[in-house]
Amino acid sequence: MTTPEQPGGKRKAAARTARVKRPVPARSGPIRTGAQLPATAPAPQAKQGAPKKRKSAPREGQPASLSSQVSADIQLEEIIINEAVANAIRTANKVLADTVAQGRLAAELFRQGDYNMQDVPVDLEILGKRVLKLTRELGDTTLNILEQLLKKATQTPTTPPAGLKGSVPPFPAGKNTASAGANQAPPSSHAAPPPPGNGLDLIVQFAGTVKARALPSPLWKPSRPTLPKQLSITPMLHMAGTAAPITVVTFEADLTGKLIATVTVPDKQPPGIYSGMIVPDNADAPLGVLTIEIVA
Amino acid sequence: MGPGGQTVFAPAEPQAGSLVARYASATRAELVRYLAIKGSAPFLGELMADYPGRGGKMMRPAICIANARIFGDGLGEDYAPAIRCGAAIEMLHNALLIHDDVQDGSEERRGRPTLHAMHGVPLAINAGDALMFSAFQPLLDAVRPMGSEVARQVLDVTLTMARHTAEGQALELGWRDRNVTDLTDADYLQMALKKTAWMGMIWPAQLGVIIGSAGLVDPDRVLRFGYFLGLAFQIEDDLRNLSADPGYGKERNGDLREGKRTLMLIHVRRACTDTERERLDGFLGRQRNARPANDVLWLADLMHKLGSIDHARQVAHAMAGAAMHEFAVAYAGQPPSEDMDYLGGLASWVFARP
Repeated sequence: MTTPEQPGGKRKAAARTARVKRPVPARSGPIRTGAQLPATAPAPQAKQGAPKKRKSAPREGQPASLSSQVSADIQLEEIIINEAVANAIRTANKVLADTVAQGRLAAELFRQGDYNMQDVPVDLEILGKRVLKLTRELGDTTLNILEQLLKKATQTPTTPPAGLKGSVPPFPAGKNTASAGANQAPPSSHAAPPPPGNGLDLIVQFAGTVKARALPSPLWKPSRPTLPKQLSITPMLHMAGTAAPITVVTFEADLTGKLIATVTVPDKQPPGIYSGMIVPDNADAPLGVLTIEIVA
Repeated sequence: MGPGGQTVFAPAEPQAGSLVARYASATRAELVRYLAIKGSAPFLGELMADYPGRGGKMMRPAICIANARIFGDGLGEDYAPAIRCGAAIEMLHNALLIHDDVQDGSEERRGRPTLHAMHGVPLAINAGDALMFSAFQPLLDAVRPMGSEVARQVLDVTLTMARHTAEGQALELGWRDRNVTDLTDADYLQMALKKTAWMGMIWPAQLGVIIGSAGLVDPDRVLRFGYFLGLAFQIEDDLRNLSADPGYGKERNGDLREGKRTLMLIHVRRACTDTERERLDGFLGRQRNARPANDVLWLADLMHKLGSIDHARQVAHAMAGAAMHEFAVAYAGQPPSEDMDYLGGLASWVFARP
């Protein structure tokens, strides 16, 4: 089947057989195109209808203060770009694109060295973070030392001023810790109640048949992350010192973060008040004292 | 030397009271401050302050300061960092001029003997080196309060400029010294981009953008504007050298005698006959001092005859037009201001400058 000839087909065929105009290769010989043209006149090709005619580019932002020569070159209604100008701009754009591409490649190559200016802000950021961390740690350490010093100072027994009665607590009795039981102040650096936010909520449960209740006392949060299984308690001594200590206490945490202590009270445990110190195995300071009362 | 032992700079060439005159005056004041070491550095301080004190168009600092004010909403009247950058640009520019004069064997600069002609090559090169490194002082003083990111950007564009400028200078010197004749317009444009446009227009504009926007605007935004402006400037400069008025302190046809590869030379070699090309290559193959004066005149005449001058002028105007277009793109949306008027008028000023 033969495709019917379309209108204008002859024109197209003629166009195909017409002389194809290709750009003259560089360095192949004299290029006089545009050289003899007056700067203000349109190119001869344009007059002959050669495809070098373009509509004017958008004029926004074009400064009004063109030189007279440039003003003459650029017609307000329509710009006819002659080949010399078109080539110059095309070449200039290609030169810039090539140079920028080479610059990027060079920058990439230089980056492969040990150090590059591009890395400066990253390094500064890392340095800044390190300085902040160090400062924070130094600050924490200093505050801890001051806190310890303050507590040591407040716990140091001093002679009461002469004539002042009842305003200074008595000196410790000096009883044997093992026999003194709960009368003995716990050897804790957390002797003071924890400030708001530093306290640890404690829920006490009892296992066994003996009736008992917990006597609330404040606990400190551990100074470092601690699992419930890392907690232990010193034997819960009888306040009067006449009964055997309670030794079986287990710890767990509930979903809200509260500490649950389960005290297993032997069946024949005598009534009275028992207490023991809760101690984490990753720190020396106890968290506080667990006190219970076994009811008759 | 002026009162108090301070360097007295030549009067500003721009019209008194104009924007450029104000920027030039502020920049020169900074230059005086940074170059006030004459007494304390024998054989150096005086030489460092010599070229900056001979005056100049101050176009580069003005481009920097204008960009800083356009892109710096909060910069206001206090644009001291931009002025310091302007001083750094002038110091670096003059340092390169000292070295340029040595490399070219030039005898005069701005109407007076070149530095090496007065003090010898070793001291001149040393002063150029010192001026080059001293330029980093005002640059660092300008960016110090602005933080590390701005400093990084400034050093980045400065190092890029330094590399391109050195490459451009190497191309020009290499072509001349190795008598490279087979060059195209593209070769020339690349050389002009690196040697002239990057140092003279792109870098000052980029510094201004960084300083003004505190590093928030991409400095490459003004690259194409600076590029086309620089090309127009360089081609016009080359054309003027062949004219009856080659410019202050310059010799007519000096570029031809020097064998400088210009757009006109590349064109004329391409357009001439084989016989003419043989004579031209013979002329270019000689040492500068051995090039006959009548051959210089013959070459200048040939350039006129074969349309090389017209061709170059047309390309220069095309580059100026491209620069105007790129200006409209790069500064789109900026409110009208004195600085916008100045930058927008630079492309036409290239042809109207004194």
